[in-house]
Amino acid sequence: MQGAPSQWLPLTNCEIAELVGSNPQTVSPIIAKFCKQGLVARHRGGIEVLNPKGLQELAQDITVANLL
Amino acid sequence: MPIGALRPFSYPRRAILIEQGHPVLGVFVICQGWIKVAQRTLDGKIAGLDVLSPGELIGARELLADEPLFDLYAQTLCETRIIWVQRTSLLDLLHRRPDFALKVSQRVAQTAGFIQHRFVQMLQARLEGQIAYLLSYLHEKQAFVQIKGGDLQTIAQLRFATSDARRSEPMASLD
Repeated sequence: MQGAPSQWLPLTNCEIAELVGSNPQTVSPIIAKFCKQGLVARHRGGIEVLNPKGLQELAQDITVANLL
Repeated sequence: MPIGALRPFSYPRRAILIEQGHPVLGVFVICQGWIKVAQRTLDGKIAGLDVLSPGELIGARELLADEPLFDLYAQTLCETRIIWVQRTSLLDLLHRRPDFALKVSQRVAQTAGFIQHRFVQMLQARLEGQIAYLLSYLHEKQAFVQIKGGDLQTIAQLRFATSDARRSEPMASLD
């Protein structure tokens, strides 16, 4: 992790998929979308959280929307 | 081996620390790095349970529950430094130091609580929300580690007991 950004998480799309019970093919476009939205940045072998508040809001909005 | 003699070991990325089905011989304390804990299901799928960061323990729940075998595996996600504490040494310390036992119990309960909270959220949200929540959750963990210092000296100040009776009263801190 030397030289990695401070908010860098050592997670590949495959590991994210395992943690949310999905597969890398499905997770990959979502991560790409998050990158476009400026929420995260992809690095080799890891992911950098650029906008944690934005991620929290997204997680909450989608949860609330599902409950309505 | 006296607990006081423990030293951290370094593991490269992708090293398997615990294999599913292996006996619970002790507890790992993460000093530096990130570790994935997951379960292989009967149909060969991998269910990721959590990603653990410095200061967190692997194997403590199984040890406290007196489970003989690990029902999960643990793999490093990056270069990682850990301390391994032998089962008998830790149990001995837990018996002798109720304050330490309470801290370990609290830490285990907190980890279980995080996992429970995350799984409830996963049931409520679509995949996009689940990923957003996961990244946010891990980011918070990371921020916590950075506040605490993020290294062996400040995170896992494991001044465990030593069997040497001539030394002062043993200390054990997970703060």
